[in-house]
Amino acid sequence: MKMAQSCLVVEDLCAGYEQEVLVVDNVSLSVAKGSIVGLVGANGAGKSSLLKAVLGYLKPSSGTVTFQGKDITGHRPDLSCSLGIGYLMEGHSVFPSLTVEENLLLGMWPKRRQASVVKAALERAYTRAPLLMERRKSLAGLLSGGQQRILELERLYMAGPSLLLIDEPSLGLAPNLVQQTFDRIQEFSKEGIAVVLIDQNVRKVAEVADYVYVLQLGRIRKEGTGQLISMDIENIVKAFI
Amino acid sequence: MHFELLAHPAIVGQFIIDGLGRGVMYGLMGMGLALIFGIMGLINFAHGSFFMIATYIMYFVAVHLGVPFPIGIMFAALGLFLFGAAFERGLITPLRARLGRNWLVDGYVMTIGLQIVLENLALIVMGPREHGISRLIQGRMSVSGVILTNERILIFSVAIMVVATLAAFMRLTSLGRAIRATSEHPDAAMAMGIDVRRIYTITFALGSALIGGVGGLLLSTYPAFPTIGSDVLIKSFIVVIVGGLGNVWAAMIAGILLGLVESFAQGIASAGWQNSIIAAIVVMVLVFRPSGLFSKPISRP
Amino acid sequence: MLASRWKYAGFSLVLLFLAAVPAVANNNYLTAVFVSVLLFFILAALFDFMLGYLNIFNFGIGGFMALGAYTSALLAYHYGISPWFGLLAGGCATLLLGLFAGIITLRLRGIYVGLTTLFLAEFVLFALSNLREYTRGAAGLQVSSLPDLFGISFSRSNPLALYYVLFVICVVIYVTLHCVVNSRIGLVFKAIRDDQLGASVLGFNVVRYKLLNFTIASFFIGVVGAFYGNYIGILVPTPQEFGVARTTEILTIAYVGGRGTLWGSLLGAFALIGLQEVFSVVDQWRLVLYGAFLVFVLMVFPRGLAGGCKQLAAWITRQVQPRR
Repeated sequence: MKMAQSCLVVEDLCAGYEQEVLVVDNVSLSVAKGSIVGLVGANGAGKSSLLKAVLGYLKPSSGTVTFQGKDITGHRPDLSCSLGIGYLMEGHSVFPSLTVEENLLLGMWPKRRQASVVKAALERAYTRAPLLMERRKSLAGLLSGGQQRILELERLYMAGPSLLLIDEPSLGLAPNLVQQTFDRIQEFSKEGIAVVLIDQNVRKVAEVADYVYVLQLGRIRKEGTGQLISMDIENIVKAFI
Repeated sequence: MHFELLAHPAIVGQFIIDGLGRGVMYGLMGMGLALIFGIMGLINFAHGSFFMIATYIMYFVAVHLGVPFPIGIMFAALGLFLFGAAFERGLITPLRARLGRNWLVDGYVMTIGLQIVLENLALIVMGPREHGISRLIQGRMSVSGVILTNERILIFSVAIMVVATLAAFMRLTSLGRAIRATSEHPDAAMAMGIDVRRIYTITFALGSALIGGVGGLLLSTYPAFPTIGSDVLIKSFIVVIVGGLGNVWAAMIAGILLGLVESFAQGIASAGWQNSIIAAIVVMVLVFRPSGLFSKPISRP
Repeated sequence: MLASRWKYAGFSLVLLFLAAVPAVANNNYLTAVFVSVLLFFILAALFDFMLGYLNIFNFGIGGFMALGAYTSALLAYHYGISPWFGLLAGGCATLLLGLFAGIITLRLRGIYVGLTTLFLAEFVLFALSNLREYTRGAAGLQVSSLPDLFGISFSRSNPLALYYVLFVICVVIYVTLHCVVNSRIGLVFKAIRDDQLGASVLGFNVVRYKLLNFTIASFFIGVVGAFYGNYIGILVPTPQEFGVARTTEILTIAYVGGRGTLWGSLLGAFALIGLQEVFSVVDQWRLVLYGAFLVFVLMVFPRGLAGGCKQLAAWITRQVQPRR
């Protein structure tokens, strides 16, 4: 029905670390262009594993993953990036002993040979986050946690992705930075980038997301628009999280 | 003990020059090993055998085919680059694919297997006979009694060039950045779209090419011989451990240090014991400063 | 129940085979082959006891052997102490070395342990060859043979008697290792091997368990080394005898046999030594064979011959049992 404008479609996906134990159990979901899709659930519900299975870090045992009409089930994780899928993994993923600028440049890896494009993207990132401009020569590992998160988000944006998979962006950040991070994610979506968002902060996710899936033990137990889920949030938290 | 020798400036100067000359060689030997360890975490026990192959390539190309030495060295480096790439792709990549994060122990046992095969094949094919050349270039100079051969100067300049080129490659090219990123956080590197498998293959091949070129360069000091590698391997280990495992630039400094220690020890103490002393020093470094004497991460030269 | 009965039957059969064949054949060549099989078997089992059960890479096992061999030989040479006692003394000296090496290295990460033991062994070898007045260095140290006991000659002209000495040593070591591995301590070993952090969180003192494992193994390596000295009759501190080359041979047999299974080492020793004897290949090809075998096992047979046997046994059981 809304397949036509879907950016990412996951159908009956199963994956696990050990044989016979499924961490992702028959999950189907779709992400429309430019929308934010939230994934919520308790620890160990399989949210991160689902993203890993979509990207190929975790090989799916069955099911399909289709991105912009192309079957990408279980392909090598590094291929996602050149297709236009950005991934922010859980925890910090800056390269600590590379400089801020080098980190940003690595965000352009698939387009590294197009010098003018790289330069433009770098300038765009610096205008958007002047802080990175200031500290572009310092080692990324020396930035504070919040600054590292800004760097990670801008690095994701460098190559001009059409889908972002973002795992726990607010973890370990101070409250004002959390708001800033969510604002940035909403900006992504306004520019037409689809976002799949996982976060501990369920209310916040329901607030910003267009559509929310609730996972429990690897299965989707409930789904609905962000508004619907927001209205029912107390019950959902009680029942599933 | 002949401490009285230290009173003569010319002799001390000679010790220093000899030590520097040797040390630079040790540093060069260690760099390939340090590069591979630094990026992949793999200890290449076949490192010495790679050196051995390079000396045979150099001998064959330079002496039999009569090609100029610089081209011979390039051949040795290229040959080892290809050999290293083939070995990594053919035997190490499948191992890593099968074992995931626990591939390292099997990885270095694999290089041990390769080392045994190469060394003993060389014994059978080439026989226990040395193939060497007397020197790469002629000439020497003497500065107030201290003798300095042109070959030493050449090796020294090559060492500086290699260090500078490698530093520039690592810091200024996008491939160098990708290599450093991969060594720090392979999963995140993958998320950037970097083909980590390819990076590992390239790194291993580069490390092999480094030792290959060095093998060609040092043919006059280390003539081609099937078991020449075991000495080179031990020297490289020492340099890499003292410099800090995986630290390419520190390996060069540690090499010079080792060269100086050896040169002075041989000059003033009775021969033989310097090996025990150095082994003891290495054990102490491993125990008290496992990250090496000049610990700095690889990405910051 | 059935499985354990089969195990004991198999164990007894192997024992009987190893005990009877050299005596029945009474052929010096065959005895020599069996001696080297047993020597490599027990050294590989000890290597595997450390690597396969606790991930301790002892890359200096050759040097440890050398210390055991030289201790026994020097005690006999300089002080006239009986080599029978030397077997124990060699073990004790190596135990001390192992204790020292363990205390300084076992806190460290895996690869550092390997490198430290490697250079400790190098130090021992260099020292042995430098202490020329005492050890005769590269000139070689004559080792007196084991004196007669109960009217039996244990000189080198009676290899069969020496074989049985080694046989007894091997049985003692194997049974000890087997008991340790299958005891509560062995369970802790496996827990540490599979998840060191997890085991330490459960309250196990990881370093202490590693040290226990390492010193037990060191003691036995010393005993075997001392026996080896008596068996070959002359000691030279070369890398081929006691250095990296020897270590890699032992490692290869342990890997070919299969890691984490002590008895696998016997298969590994029979396979490699048997092969080289059957084809009576020259010495050089022997090592090429070792290396090639090692690479082959890593690539296609990661669990070694023992793993292969287990799979075969499982397959046979499946075939024998009636399908339901």
